[in-house]
Amino acid sequence: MSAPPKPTKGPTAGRRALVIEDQDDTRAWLIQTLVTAFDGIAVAGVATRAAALAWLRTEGGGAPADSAAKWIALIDLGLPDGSGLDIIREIDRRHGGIVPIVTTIYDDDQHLFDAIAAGAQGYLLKDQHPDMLVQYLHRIDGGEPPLSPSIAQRMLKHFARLKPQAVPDEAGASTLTAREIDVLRLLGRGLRVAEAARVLGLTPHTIAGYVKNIYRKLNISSRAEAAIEASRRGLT
Amino acid sequence: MIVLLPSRIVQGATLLCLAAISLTLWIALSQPWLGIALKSGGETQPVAIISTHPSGPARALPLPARLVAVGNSGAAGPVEIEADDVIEEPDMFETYEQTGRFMQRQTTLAALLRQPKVALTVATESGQTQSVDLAPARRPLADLPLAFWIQLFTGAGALLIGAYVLAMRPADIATRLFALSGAMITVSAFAAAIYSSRELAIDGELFRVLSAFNHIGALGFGMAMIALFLIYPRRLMSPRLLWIVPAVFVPWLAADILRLAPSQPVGSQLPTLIEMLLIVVMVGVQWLVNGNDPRARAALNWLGLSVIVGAGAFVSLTIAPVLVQMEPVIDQGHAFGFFLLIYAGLALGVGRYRLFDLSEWAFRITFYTGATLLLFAIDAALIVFLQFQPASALGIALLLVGFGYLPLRSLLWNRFVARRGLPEHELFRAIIDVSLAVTAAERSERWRQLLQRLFDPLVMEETQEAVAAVEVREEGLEVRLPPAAATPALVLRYPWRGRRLFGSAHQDLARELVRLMLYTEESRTAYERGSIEERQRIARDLHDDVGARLLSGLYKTDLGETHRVLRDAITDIRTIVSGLSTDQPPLGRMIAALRHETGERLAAAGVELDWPLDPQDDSPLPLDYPAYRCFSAAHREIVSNIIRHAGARRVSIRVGIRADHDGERLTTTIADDGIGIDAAHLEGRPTGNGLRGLLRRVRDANGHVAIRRLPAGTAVEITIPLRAATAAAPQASAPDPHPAFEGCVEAGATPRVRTT
Repeated sequence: MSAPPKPTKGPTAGRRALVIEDQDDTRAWLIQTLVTAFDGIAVAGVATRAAALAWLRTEGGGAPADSAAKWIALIDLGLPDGSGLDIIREIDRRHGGIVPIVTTIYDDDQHLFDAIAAGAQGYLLKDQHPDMLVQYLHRIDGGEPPLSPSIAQRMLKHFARLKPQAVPDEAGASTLTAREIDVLRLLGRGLRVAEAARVLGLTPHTIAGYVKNIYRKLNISSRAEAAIEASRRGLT
Repeated sequence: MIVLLPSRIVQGATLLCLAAISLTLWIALSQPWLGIALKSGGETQPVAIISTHPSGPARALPLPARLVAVGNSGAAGPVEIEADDVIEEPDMFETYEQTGRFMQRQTTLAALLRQPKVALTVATESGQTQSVDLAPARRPLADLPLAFWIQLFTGAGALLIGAYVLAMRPADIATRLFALSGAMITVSAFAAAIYSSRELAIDGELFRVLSAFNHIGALGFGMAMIALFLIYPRRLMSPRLLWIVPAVFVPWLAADILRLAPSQPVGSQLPTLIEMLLIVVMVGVQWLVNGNDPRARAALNWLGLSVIVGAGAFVSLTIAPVLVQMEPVIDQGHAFGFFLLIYAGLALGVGRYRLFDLSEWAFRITFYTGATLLLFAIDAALIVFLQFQPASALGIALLLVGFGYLPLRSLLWNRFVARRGLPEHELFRAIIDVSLAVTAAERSERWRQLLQRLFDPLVMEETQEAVAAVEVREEGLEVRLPPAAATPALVLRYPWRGRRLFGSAHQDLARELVRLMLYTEESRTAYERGSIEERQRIARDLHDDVGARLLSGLYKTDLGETHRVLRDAITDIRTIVSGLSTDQPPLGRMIAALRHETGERLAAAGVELDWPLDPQDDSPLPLDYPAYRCFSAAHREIVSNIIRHAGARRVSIRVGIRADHDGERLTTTIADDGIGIDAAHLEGRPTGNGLRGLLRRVRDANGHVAIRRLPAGTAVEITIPLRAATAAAPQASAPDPHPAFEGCVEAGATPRVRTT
């Protein structure tokens, strides 16, 4: 991305968003950022995990399952009454029309990796400049999730460790394609999507598609792993 | 030198005591017995039969009656009984002739009593005389009078308490004298117990031997006590000179036994009395010379008082009256009980006044030794008991023993007697437990507990003396351990409750123990030092970087600037935290993160980044935290400067590792095509906070910064050693000069750094 961000305002009629953040000022600021980024979006804010789950029960059903303008949930991981991961899982399981995005202050890759495995479709660092934040929000919304070098390295390790036969293969979820591995390697060495695209001779859009696919595979494979683990322990 | 274990001394004394008791009982019970109790009734009615034993040979005698004569129905004529024949203690006679005649008569009477049939001539109250033939029997145990048991008990107690004090300090002359005095009481009391409890007569020769033993014991006790108070609590004379005491009294004793003294009181009672007086005098002298030593005085008060009251009561009530030709106030047999006062007093005083420098632990050895002996005694009693059981009851008895006694015995044995060790694998865990205790006091406590578990010593005390290594001393009675586990050097005495000695295997074990202990302590100290350094590092980073940044944000008037400062502070914290999560992040990971971050920042600012992949920057080479921290912060600062001030369109970055004789160095060159840098920077006088901080940081890491003006733009080169160890080495090497650069200013760590 070599040009300054230009906020784009897509079709947002009836679009809704939820900000889950226990710090009042930060929550207000995140709500403001969402409103700036997406014209006409209706944003609700809650401070706890319980309130977020309650909102999902009462309002979440209205999210459009197959619309381009999916709803957005910005989720802080460390909440006073529990982990934001639970909210991500809940959205992942029942609310296909909502895009769960982690908002965090420190890019602790262990937590972010777990969040992606739980179904997060992107993450944002809260300390970024508002313009940058808007830009990143648009990228995620447009199916171009971020992937820091350390998370990319973690993903490479994760899929290398995964035994293909151990996880029921749902559309090859437990293995990465050669291209996907190439992409992860480049991102893992600190290249951005555009640079990786240049190195591989592909378009940035294609690379973004790979990244999104890798996100999905991580989510599926970790869900499958969890299921296998549960059945092995006799939980299901 | 033969070292006697405390338990061996006590056990030996116990066995000796049991043997002496058995012998005394055997002699007393093997005398012919008629079952009559005699009492001297004065001149007219010399000897009265005051009672008869209900199951004894004389049970049919009519009472009251008087014993007139003892005879034999066959040969010799009857011997008339005199009042003196039933006297308790022949020492009461005034002359040796009287004693000799008494002994003669005892021999005659004893010979008569040993015949199968004895003819007793008794006179009834009405004056009638009749002769009764009796067959002497064996004396039953229960017939022995109270005085016999008092003397036996006193003698045994004195012997055992004396032995127990001796066992604690076998090499100490004071305890030896004290033990000797106890043994003398035993000799004296056991001998007297036999003859003073005789029914009518024992053989005169036996009597003389017993009487001699009685005298030896009595005078021996006095001699030992005099000698004791000559050297205890304070040594008033050399122990060698103590021979003066027996030199005076032994000839006197010999003269008495050989009947060479002018009279019996002079030969027998007078030396006893003199000894008593000397004891009192010596206690008084000790009391005076110990006026400035309250502890010695307290000990003396207790011991001296016990001796004076105990022995004094005996002497003044039984011996002194004879000297002034009076009757003893109480029986000698009963009076012997006073001696027990001395020894009981001592036993009580040991703990309270530290008599003979013993303390309470000294009791425990007796207790545990006693437990061993008691178990053996019960075993023996059971075996004897089972032998006499009828066959039918034997099975039940065996069952009881098997299910009741044996488990109980094993329990008691393990509790009191068995030696408890520690398996090797637990030893290591125990040491780790000691070294991992949080406070020093806790470590010390656990260390002592471990030693107690391993060696079970009766005494464990700190010593001020320097102990460099584990040392077994006193022929194995004690071991010294050097300071360890926050504990001063320790002395362990009487291992396994005094039942065993420290051997070479134990010395090896103790050495290994101390070695492991010191090793784990060292590791612990190193770990603690490391974590302190880590904490200091975090504190310094927070203070120097985050703190300084927030402070500068505080004074910014422009809100946008404040936001920028706060974001930078958060980035600083992020770097500090990521430095915490791994000790040594690989170089490749740092480069990747920097490349990503720089790319995002420059892209946001509309600046193009030229930082191609390089095989080298995938390096798994570990990076020290200070190098990592310095490098990424400096990098970040330079990129910030470019974004804010340079007006550049393109930034080129190259990172490389250079190896030279100083080790490996990390170099980065950041070049922009902007407006160029201020002259002040080139002259080493940076104007901004950020650049100043950068220079300081790099200097701290022993690296250097070179800033050059390019035809268009600026190039900054940062070089830092990869590792702290190489950072300490002088920097003699010059970075690769770049011909395209025009001007150059450096901020170096030392004067040795290259100048333009």
